[in-house]
Amino acid sequence: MIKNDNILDELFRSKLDGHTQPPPSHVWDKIREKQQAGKRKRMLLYWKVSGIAAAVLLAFLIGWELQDTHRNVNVPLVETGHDNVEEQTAQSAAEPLHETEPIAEIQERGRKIQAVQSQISSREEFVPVRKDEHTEEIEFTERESLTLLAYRGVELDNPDDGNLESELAAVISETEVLSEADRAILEMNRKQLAEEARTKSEKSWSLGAVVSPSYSVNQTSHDTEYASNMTRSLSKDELQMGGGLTVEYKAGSKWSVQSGVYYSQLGQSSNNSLRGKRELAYDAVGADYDYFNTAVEVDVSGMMMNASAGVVEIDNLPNNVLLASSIESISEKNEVTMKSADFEQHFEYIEIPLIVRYQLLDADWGVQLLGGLNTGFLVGNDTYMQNSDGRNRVGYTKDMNRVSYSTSIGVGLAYSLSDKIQIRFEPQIKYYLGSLNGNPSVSFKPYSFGIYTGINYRF
Amino acid sequence: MEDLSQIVKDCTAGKSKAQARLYQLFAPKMYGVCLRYSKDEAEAEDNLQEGFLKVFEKIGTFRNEGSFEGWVRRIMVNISLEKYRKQYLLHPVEDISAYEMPDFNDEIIAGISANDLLKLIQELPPRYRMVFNLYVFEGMNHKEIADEMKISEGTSKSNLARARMILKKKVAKNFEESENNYSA
Repeated sequence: MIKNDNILDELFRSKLDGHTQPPPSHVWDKIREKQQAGKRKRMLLYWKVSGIAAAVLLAFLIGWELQDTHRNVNVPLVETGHDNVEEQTAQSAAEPLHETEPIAEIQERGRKIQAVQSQISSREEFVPVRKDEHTEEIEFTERESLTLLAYRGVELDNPDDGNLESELAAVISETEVLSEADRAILEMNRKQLAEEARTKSEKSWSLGAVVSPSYSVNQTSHDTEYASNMTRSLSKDELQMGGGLTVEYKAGSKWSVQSGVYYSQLGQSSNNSLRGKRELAYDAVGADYDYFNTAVEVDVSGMMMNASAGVVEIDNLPNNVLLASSIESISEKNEVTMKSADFEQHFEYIEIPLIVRYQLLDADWGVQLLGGLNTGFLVGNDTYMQNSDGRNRVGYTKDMNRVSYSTSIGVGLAYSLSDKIQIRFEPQIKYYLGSLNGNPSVSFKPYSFGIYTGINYRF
Repeated sequence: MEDLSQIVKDCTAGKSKAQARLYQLFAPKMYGVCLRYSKDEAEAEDNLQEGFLKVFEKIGTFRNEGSFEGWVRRIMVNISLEKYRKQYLLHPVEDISAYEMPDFNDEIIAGISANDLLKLIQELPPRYRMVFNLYVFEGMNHKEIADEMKISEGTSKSNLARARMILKKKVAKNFEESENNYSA
């Protein structure tokens, strides 16, 4: 006879404690599969990290290259001069060269002087003549550092020497006597000087302000258990407003890097109306009620409901709304229900973008390609209920990640009102890299399309 | 007899054969545990799978203090509880107060198979099933259950009472059916 609970407990314990049953063989196969998938995931992560590191390194090197073009190209120019001097020395079979100045010191000399020096020292026909006729006056020891002025000094010291004077004049006026290679180098030098002057003027900081109306497109998925008790996702894509301040550094004629602080919003709508698929039969509710079909878990910490973007903790029900609670304890009189309603899970983020821009077209109308990474910090998390009685805040979404990452790509159109002020119009697509909700049963990865419109002021 | 500690050691080193052996040794018993905490076989299989993945992942933390089987079992129970907590399921319950508690004798009880009882446990509403399992099979008291499930002690007590009532009713029903079949 089962007269007390202990006997019942003992009945179950005796028959089921230590109960064994061989699991189906596919369980082990799945375990193996998951282990392999885990390894592949780790490998993929490794490649991702390596890829990002390589991309950062590459970007750094390109940036370095762009900034230092001038110095890098100048080194061979100086060396060219140096080599030619050595050639000259060999030809003249004169006394050996003294220690020459280090190339680094030569690099530091003024650009114009270096250019002229290279012209002079590369003139093969000229130097031997000078060497033959003015051995005493011209010292080879300091040849690498000779300047135009020094050569002019030679001219002045030898007023009678008409040949030398005319030769020097020829050097200074360039052209006829220079080899093709020399001319090419000179031409390159000129271009670099011009480029450098232009680039210097283009390196600049700018500040801006933008507003960004955007549509977020919902992309959610859930595991079956979660979904079977969930509000029904609505594909109601609402226009959300955002905006912020930008700060941008233009690193060269083509590239610039932008950061700033943005405010953005995201919304996910769902509805608790009947799905028809699985109606929970709450006998106590009765047929007269427009009853709440989505399960609500009630415990000491509050009421929870599975919704599209994550579990909603309901902490503030409007007065006119009834919510079922403790449905499992049938003996109590709490069989109340809730009206059909739309729920909007609403999130606000402060974002710090890191965007790289590449100038495709630089005119009054400028066109840029832009892409980068945004780090978002969750600052607002509210869930609203909308029904015939209006829109009311009812709670918040649990398990939302405080920090999230998204990528942005877009095209920027800019119109220059003046040298300093630009108006910008930038359609961008933003995609979240991971689920915004930390609950493993929920994947909430929206993407949004926004038009960032604003004004930029360059210093 | 195989040396369990060697198998555990090899599993710690990530040896695949040792993992397979460990699974062979413990899976049937742990499947039995998972079945008690689940509503059906599919859920039990999922929990068993997740449980073993966790066992292989965490086996390095096992310190040979207490039984290894107890450690593995605890992982299976935790996985089941974790899943329960995440689902926030809500199931309607029949009005059990309408049933009278019948008496039946030990002979009939002896005729009920383990699988029959397992099925009865699986049919319990999730929270009742959890509380009943933790109380009867894990030997926890209501305070421990309340902490584990983040409910109050009172809720734990009332859930256990309701679970017992449902089980009694179902065992009785089972008995009545058996009785009828017998007399027919």
